[in-house]
Amino acid sequence: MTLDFLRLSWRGIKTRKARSILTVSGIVIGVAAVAALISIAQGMQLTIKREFEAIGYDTILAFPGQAPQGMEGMPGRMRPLFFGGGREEGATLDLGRLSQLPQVEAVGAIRTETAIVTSPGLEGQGFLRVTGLNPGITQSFPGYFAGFSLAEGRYFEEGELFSVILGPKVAEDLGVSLGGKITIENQEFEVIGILEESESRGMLRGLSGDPNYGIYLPLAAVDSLFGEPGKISLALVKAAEGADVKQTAQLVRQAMTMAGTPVTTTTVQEMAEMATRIMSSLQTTLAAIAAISLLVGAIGVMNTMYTAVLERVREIGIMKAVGAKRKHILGLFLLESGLVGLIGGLLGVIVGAALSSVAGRFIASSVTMGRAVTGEFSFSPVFSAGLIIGALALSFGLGALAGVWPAQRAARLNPVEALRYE
Amino acid sequence: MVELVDVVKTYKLGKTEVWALRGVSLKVEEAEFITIMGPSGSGKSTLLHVIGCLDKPDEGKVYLAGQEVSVLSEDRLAELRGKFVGFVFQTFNLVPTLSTLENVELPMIFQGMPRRRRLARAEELLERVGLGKRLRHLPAELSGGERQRVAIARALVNDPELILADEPTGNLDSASGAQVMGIIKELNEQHGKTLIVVTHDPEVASYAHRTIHIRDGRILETSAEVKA
Ligand SMILES: Nc1ncnc2c1ncn2[C@@H]1O[C@H](COP(=O)(O)OP(=O)(O)OP(=O)(O)O)[C@@H](O)[C@H]1O
Ligand SMILES: [Mg+2]
Repeated sequence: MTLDFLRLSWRGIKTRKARSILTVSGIVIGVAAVAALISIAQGMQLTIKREFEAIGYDTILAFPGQAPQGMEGMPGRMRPLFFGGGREEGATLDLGRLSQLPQVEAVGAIRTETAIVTSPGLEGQGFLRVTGLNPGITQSFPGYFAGFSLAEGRYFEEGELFSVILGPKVAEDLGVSLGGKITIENQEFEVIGILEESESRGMLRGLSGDPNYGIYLPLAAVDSLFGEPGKISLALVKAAEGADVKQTAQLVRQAMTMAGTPVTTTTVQEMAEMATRIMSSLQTTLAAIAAISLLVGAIGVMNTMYTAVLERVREIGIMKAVGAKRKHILGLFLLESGLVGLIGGLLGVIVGAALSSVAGRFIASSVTMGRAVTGEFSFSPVFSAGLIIGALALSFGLGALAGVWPAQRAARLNPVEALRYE
Repeated sequence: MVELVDVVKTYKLGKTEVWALRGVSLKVEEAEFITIMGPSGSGKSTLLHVIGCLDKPDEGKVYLAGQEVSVLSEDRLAELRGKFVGFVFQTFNLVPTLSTLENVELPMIFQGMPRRRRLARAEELLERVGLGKRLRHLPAELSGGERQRVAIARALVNDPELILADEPTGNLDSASGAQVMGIIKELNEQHGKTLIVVTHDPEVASYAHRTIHIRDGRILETSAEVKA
């Protein structure tokens, strides 16, 4: 019975090919927009989750200084994280206090300064940013330094002082290779490692700069060149296993406040939450726009079905004369408009998938959201089975809904009048 | 089989009322074959529609097989139309987008009959009206006579007791008309169906047991013809 009705409805759609195609396109556009947006949003969320997971949810970032008024939720120093702003002033922190906390497993210190750099292969001198890393930071925070991998050479060893690891681009600019020498603030350094070239820019670019141009020194070397030992631009704190990360962050703030050097903390968890918040508000706006295009599509279906009813008044009369009840006529037209919706949905999902994969590639190449220091940025839209089924159900439902009014009109027609209709 | 008591039917055309039937009483026995004749606009089609449950009378009562149908709901009337009545129209009234076979299948779909049985039944009836080789044709690809035979096959699929035909030969040449009337007459003679045929054609009326004359919505006289 249902199958027969499907056949009859399909016949109705087929006999009005041109208009059906136009009507279907209205739905296609709407569904494609919705499906593409959702899949991109889901892909984004997955990427955010994966990226932050890679850094590790047990990681706390501590910045010297207090958060500006009213910005406690999002420290001013967070801005460079997301918008690639300039470098921040540091302050002297007694990180030893943090290591003593039982909730803290490891502490890492990063100090960035701008230094006069010369090298035999460089004419004149460069005014470049150098980054001091405390020994062992790359091992303690493997997630944060996930992309920080050497093309050649080795990492710093304990107690090592005047050694430098260079990004591949800056090494080229300076005209040095592994084992070569460069001078930073009148001190000679030996190049002990060169990083692999990384294509994507790091999420924490604002603090560490583009790793391709990075000049990394042992923290002690930066201290000895610039004085103020203990001055830190950013401290990384890893919460011990089992410790509550939020609580640990609070303890870190308390400890540093007591030491007279307050810090602002951000946990990876908070960063992830904030990113998700930004994402979801963006998503809501876009979804509203997509919903409007779907609505327009549905109105198109309604219009087509209304004309179809007018065109087929006589046919409706015939069907009634041979025994069709109201529910049969109603079902026939609802099924037809639902089918138009479903076809639109099916094509919409396909177009949406194509659209989102193109958009996804564009996003991947333009958004900076890679791993901390370097690392591949990987993003792909998520086209889940749930999304496909949901889109199809939605488009069928919407089509059927758009057909309710025309179908009711059809079902209510008086058979004799319908048969007389020219 | 069919009984009408003081049936009144009016149509409103703007402010004026058109009286299509002004108190019609009529009795048709089972397996009877009657024709209805009268000038254009006299109410013949209206009468047929009221008998066939396509329309409800404004006043009066209509009985089919002893049951009063003028009080039934629209869906019950649809059911009766499907099971008990078969219509044949002057303008054939086939669905233009459906093939011969599908047009004949249509009434059985609304009865919820399974496809296999429907196809067998439709083919059997089309064979009977001489259209066994036209199953896939669309109505537009058939001659008038052929279309009317499809309509007859469609009217018969649910094996109705009552067959109502509204000028079935009105749009046909005399040869096709004779063929169609041959089939219709056979339904009464060989299958015992009750037949009510509206016609302008005395030739057609000559097949019937009885002819009712109607004018201005009233029955004038009944001329009974003795058929051998
Ligand atoms: N839907 C309608 N609205 C208004 N008037 C109608 C309607 N249907 C029928 N009539 C009127 O009712 C009267 C009877 O119409 P009906 O169709 O029954 O006549 P008829 O005898 O079948 O005529 P014909 O031989 O031309 O088919 C006519 O005057 C007609 O104009
Ligand atoms: Mg008429």
